[in-house]
Amino acid sequence: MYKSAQRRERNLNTPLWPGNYRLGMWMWLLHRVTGLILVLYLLVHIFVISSSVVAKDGKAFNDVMELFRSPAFIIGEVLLMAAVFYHTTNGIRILLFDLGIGVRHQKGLFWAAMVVAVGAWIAGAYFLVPLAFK
Amino acid sequence: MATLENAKPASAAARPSAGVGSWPWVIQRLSAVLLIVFLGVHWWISHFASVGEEITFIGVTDRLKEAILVFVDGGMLLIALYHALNGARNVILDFTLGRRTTFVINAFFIILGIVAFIYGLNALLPFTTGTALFYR
Repeated sequence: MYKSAQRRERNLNTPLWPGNYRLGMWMWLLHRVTGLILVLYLLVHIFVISSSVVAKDGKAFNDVMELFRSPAFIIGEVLLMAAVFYHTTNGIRILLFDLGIGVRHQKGLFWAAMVVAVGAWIAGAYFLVPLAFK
Repeated sequence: MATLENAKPASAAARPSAGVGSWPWVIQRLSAVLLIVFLGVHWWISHFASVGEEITFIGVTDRLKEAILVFVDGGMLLIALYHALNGARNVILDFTLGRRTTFVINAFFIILGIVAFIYGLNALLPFTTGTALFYR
């Protein structure tokens, strides 16, 4: 018992060690990871589309759009959509907690958020995935 | 042993901020809510209203004759950039850095935001007025 109490104390002092993560901490981490992925995507999105629009070559925009219709990009969009829906639904959950709503039901709200996210993702993928196999 | 009761927040000197209080935090929440609406419109208009239809320069020019959609695109550019860059800044500043480093990081994100906003807004012009302010 003494050993485990000692280990418990040591673990309490290292909250950032992933072995100590509980559900909320993994969600926090995933929120950040999806957030950073979306930041990179946004900057690339703005740069690629804007520079094709203001290229001297008048059809650069249409060429870029045609490239984005290729299967690899469509599958990429479907994956991106998963990151967006996780970040959005978990973000709404965070916002509710900030307003003092549902803090005591954080786990239940997590599953509610995941049901909405997965549902929205399947609905979106239903429209996009067939485009990759046209 | 560290407990919630005896854990003290770092002093103001140890946790440098941009000197703007909690406004970035508040705006991060407001922009999050607005983004849900704007992203919904953005996706619906460009992908889901007519699934599989090719996006072309002529098509977008036609679509952007609707002033509200120019507002949605420009507004979304601003809000998404704020939310994204302030979010990335939050992730970095969670690693409690020194005053000078924090200042450099703040300046970096502000400049990146302004440059990306102007670059993106410039690309709306060929669709609306016919000519951009600058070309590549």
